[in-house]
Amino acid sequence: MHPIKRRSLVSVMATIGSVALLLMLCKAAHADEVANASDENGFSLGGYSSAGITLPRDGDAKAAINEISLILRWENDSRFKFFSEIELEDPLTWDEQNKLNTKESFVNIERLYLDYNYSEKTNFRAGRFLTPAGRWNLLHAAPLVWTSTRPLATSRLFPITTNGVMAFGAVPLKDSAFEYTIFVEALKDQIDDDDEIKFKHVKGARFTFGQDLNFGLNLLSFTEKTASNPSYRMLGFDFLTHYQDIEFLGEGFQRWDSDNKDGGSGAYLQTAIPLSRLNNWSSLRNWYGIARLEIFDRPDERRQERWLLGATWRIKPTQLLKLEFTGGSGDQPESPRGFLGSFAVLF
Amino acid sequence: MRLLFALLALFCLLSSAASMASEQTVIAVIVANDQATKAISLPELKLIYWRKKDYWANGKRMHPVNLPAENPLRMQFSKKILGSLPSTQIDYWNGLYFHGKSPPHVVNSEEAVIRFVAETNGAVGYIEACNLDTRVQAIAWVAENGDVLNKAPDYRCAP
Repeated sequence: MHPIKRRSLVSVMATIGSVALLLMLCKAAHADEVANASDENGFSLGGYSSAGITLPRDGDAKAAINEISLILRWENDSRFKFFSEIELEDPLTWDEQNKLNTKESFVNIERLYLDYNYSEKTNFRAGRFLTPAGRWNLLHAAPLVWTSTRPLATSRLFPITTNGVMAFGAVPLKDSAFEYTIFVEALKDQIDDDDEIKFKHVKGARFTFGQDLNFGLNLLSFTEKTASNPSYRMLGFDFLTHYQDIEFLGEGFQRWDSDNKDGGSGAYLQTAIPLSRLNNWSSLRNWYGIARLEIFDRPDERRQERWLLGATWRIKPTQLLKLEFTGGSGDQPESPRGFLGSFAVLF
Repeated sequence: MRLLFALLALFCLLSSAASMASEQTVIAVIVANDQATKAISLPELKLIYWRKKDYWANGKRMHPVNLPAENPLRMQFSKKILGSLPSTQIDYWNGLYFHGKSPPHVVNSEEAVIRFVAETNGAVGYIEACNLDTRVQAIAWVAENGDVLNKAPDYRCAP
C-alpha cells in the first residue's frame, strides 16, 4: 500500500477508533439493566452500532461506521406493543478511491410494527418485520452475532424483511415451549439497497422447539423480482445448542422452483469456543475462537464454498470486538474474502 | 472437509464443565396477597422467567422480578428453573432485547423483591423461604433438589 494511503487509512481508523471508544464509554448496559430503562409512559430507546475495517483479498481496503441503529419501543399494561428500528446505514466510509465520504449512507426502516397480545399462545403483528427464516436473520445485529460477515445463505436466498401481518405464539410443551410464526406479505417492499435481492408474494411459517437444543423449521414461498420473476418454495432447518459452553449453530435452506427443480441452496455450520477453556488460558477470558463453514448455490451465481476463522472478544456483555479471516471461493459485497475487524456495541 | 475435521478436533480438546458451588436453600415463589393465582407449575415458571408468558389467567400483565446476576439465590433459582446460570444467558437476553422484549426487572435485595411484588400489580418474584412474611403470599416452593412444590416443604430457618 502507498505510504500516503496508509497514513490516510491510519487516520480514518483513528477516527473510527475514537467513535468506538465513545460508544464504549456510553452507558452500554447489560440487558438486565435495560429492563428498567423505559420512561413512565412506557417508551424506551436503545440501539446498536458497529464500526470496522475490511482488507479484502481482491480489492481496496475500506473502513466504515457500518450502522447506527435506534430502537424505540412502547408498552404499558395494555395488550398492545409498538416497536421500531430505524437504521442509518454506512454513515461514514473511507476507501482509497473516495477517501472519507458519506456516499453510501442512507436511512433504512428496518422494523416498524404493532403487536397485539391475545394470549401467549396467540399474538398478532402488523407492519414491517424481519422475515422469520432461520436464526441469523432474526438476530443479525452486529452485537448479537460472533462475526462481522453474514453467512451468504442467510441473505441471498430469501427476503430479509417483510411488510405484512403475522400470527405468533408459544405453547408450553414438556419443560420447554413450541413456538410458531405464520406470516404473509401485505405491502410491497421499500427500495433501499441495490445490493439486496427484491422479493414479492412472500408467505411462510417458522416453528421452533427446545431450550438446550433448539431446533427451527422454516417454510417459505416467494417470487424473486428478477428478469424472469421466478417463484420458489423453500424449506429451511436450523439449530442452536451448547456443549460445555461451546456454541454450535447451523442453518440450511433448500429452494425449489415452480417446476420442482433445484432453485438454490445454502448452509453453514458455526462454532464459538471460549478460548479460556483450552488449557485454562485465563488471560483469554471472554475471548472466543470462531470457525464457520459455508456452502451457497444460487441458480445465476456459481457455487461458493467459504470458510471463516476468527477470534471475538466479549469486552462486556453488550460489546464485541471481532477479528476474522474469510477464504474459499466467490466474493459478495457484504461478505468479501480477506480480513475483517469490527467493534459492535448494544446500548 | 479438512475444516470439518479441524472443528471436530477443537471440539475434542475441551476440558470438563465448571460446577456451580453455592449453598442450596428452599426458595419461595411469591406474588401479591391480592393475586388470584394460588399455585404455579415448573413449566409455567420457566415460561415466565424466559419471558415467554406475559399474562396471568385473569388477563393481568405479569411483572417477573429477578435478583442481580451474581446473587447466589438468583444463581440457584436460575439453575433449577431455567437450567442455566445467568452468566450463560447473555445472548438470550440480548436477543430478546433486540426484539423489543425486556428481561425480568432486577432489584438489589430480597427485601426489594418483597416490596416490588407487594406494590406492583401482577408481579411475581422469589426469595428465600425463610424470609417470607405477611406482605406477600407464596404460590410455589423450589425445594433444595429443584422440585417445584405447591405446598411448603420442611425447612429450617436460622434463629
